[in-house]
Amino acid sequence: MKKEQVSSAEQVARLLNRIWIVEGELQPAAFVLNAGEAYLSVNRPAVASYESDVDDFISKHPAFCVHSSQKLYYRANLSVGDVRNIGCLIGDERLQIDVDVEPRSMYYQSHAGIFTRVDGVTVKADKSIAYPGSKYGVSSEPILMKLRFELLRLSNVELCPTRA
Amino acid sequence: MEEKKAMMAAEPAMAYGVNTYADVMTYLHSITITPETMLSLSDQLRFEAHNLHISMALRRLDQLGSLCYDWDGNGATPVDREVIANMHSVIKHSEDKDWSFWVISPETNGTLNITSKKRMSSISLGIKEFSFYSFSADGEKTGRNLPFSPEAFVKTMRQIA
Repeated sequence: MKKEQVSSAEQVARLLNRIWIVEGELQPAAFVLNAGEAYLSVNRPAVASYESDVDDFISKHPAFCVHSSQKLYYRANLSVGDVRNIGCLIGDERLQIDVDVEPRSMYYQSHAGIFTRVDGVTVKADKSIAYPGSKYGVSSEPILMKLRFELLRLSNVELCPTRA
Repeated sequence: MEEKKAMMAAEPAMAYGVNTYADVMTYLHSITITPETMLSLSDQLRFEAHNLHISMALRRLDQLGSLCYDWDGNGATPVDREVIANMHSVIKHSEDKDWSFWVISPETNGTLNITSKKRMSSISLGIKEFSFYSFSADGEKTGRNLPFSPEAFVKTMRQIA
């Protein structure tokens, strides 16, 4: 069964902890996956609940506010079409990496995930990838690192108001 | 004109910029402070003036050391104290210019990562090991789970910056 996809015409937003911005520059660390995690969390501003989802999240995580006294937060906007077009080739095996964006509305209606796959196998942090046809598998780290830099390059950082 | 003067007079006394050594010393003399503290501050200012990048790295490390559980909103753990101590020892063994191109960031598993501002290079630092990845037109350089020593880490920084 084909998984539900976010439209390529949409934008998704990665909410940014202020620790990820150094001297006004967004750092690749903003796009790091937790160990064992299969996707990078983003939110969909096009979904009606986006603002209330963000308000709720930021009220629970004040480090995502620019300053404790200011009701502003940073987000990195990414075009879903551009994210899908990320294709990195790794090492001698010339692996073809597919990046996709799928809804993950279990916690917040506007939540979505950026998935990275090699031959249909999802890349997880701290795990080697045994994809079909591979003898020993490959480390996920170089793949995820390239993804981090690509997402950084595609990001459009924006300062937004919150009611939290 | 009168209105402008009134506004200027209302400005706080410390509104002028503190840019030079003389400015700093003038400020230090203007506040009540013990000679010992003044000496210590003066030493610190002198160190920071000559080691701008190292000072920034140390400040960043202090900031990262204060991160709490779930700082990323997704269950991230605070940076491990031993990892902070390791990075301190790296900074101690490095030169100021080594830090011109590197930014320290937290990883979500309690380790630290430094990323190059110039190229796609990064080094992860744990308690006993470090790993690095670097991609350039010349190809890829990787090293995984290398035994940590400040000297080896600084050598890698210089090789892949």
